Formats: sequence, structure tokens, C-alpha cells
Amino acid sequence: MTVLTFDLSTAEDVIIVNASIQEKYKLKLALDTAATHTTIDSNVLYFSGYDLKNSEGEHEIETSNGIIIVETFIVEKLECLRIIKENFEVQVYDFLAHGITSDYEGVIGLKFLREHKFCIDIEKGEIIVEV
Amino acid sequence: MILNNTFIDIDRLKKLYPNEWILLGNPEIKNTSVLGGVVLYHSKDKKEVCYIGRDKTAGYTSVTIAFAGDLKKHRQTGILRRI
Repeated sequence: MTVLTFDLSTAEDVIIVNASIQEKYKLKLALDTAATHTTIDSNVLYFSGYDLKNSEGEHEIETSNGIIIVETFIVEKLECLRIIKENFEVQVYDFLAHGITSDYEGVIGLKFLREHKFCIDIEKGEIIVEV
Repeated sequence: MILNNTFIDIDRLKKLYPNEWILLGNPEIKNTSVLGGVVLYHSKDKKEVCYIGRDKTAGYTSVTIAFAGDLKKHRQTGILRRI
């Protein structure tokens, strides 16, 4: 069992968790239990060594701001919350081109967590994960 | 741009490059906070850091992009589900 901490001390805070691509590229993702899939800023995916021409396809996504089109890519190794997924499909969207300049680079969705037991303790600011 | 191998802590980075995106080599990270790292590239344009910085990470075990400021007020969520 792994215990990870997060900070929700201000009204703007969301649950941010660390992640890595290929164990080298460290990024921050928002843990969003309302999101089905994991979505990453395309700029960061490019930075992590992926060619944005090699998309697996396009999908429509429903967001709070309407429908958007994302492309999908297979990431060789994605680690988050000590869970490692190999050849994991992520959705990719150009956050910067659409004016999203958050300090995190995407959201980790439920599909990533589906085979694991995890508990979010808001009061303690902890995520307990059974990997 | 600074291209030496000196570790610089985040407080110093905020003074050196206020409100810029900074590519850091071998960053030190505690929980989700970046404590510092070796500056490989910096710019006010995150896209520039991603695209130019990609070729500057060789020889580093880990790299990250940090913002030398506070972006909490700009946070946006709301990617919900695939249709």
C-alpha cells in the first residue's frame, strides 16, 4: 500500500499528482475522477520524445466548455501514483493553443486507475493506493 | 539562457526568471512541488520550452518543466468523457 499526499489548502487547488513518461519526463497531472481517460498536453508529449504525427486516431470529448477533438497516442511507459502502465493509450490535446496554461499538464482518468484500489482522503490530504 | 550544471533552488529561480517556464534537469521534487534543478532552458512561452528544450535533455536522468510563479488562478479542468 502506498500513501501519497496532496495539498488542497486554497480554493484554487485541485488534486495534483506526479507522473512520468518513460521514467524520465516528470509531469503533474490533475486527478479527475470525472474523467474517463487520461489526457496530456500535446506539447509535453512532444517534449517527451513522441512524434505528434503518429496519432492512433481522433476522438470527440465532452468537456465543461463543449465538445473538443483529441488525438490518441500509445505511451510506452506511464507512471502515476506508483502505478505503471505500459503501452497505455492517452488522449492528447494542445492545451497551449487553446489558452490552457495551468501548472499541470493534463488529467489522469479513471481508466488508468481501474484495476487498482485507491482511496482519496480529503481530510488528511492523502491518496492511498494498492498497486 | 543559462547552460551550466549548477543546481538552483526554486526561490532563486523565481527571482532569476519570474513568471517564466523553466526546463530543469535532474529536478528535486518533494510531493508535487519542484524544489529546484539544473536550468536547461527558460522562456515565457511554454511551447518554446517544450519544442526547443526537447533536444537539451540528453545526459539527464530526469527532466521537468516548472513555472517560476503562481498559476493556480489559471487552473482549468473539465475534460469529462469520450463520446
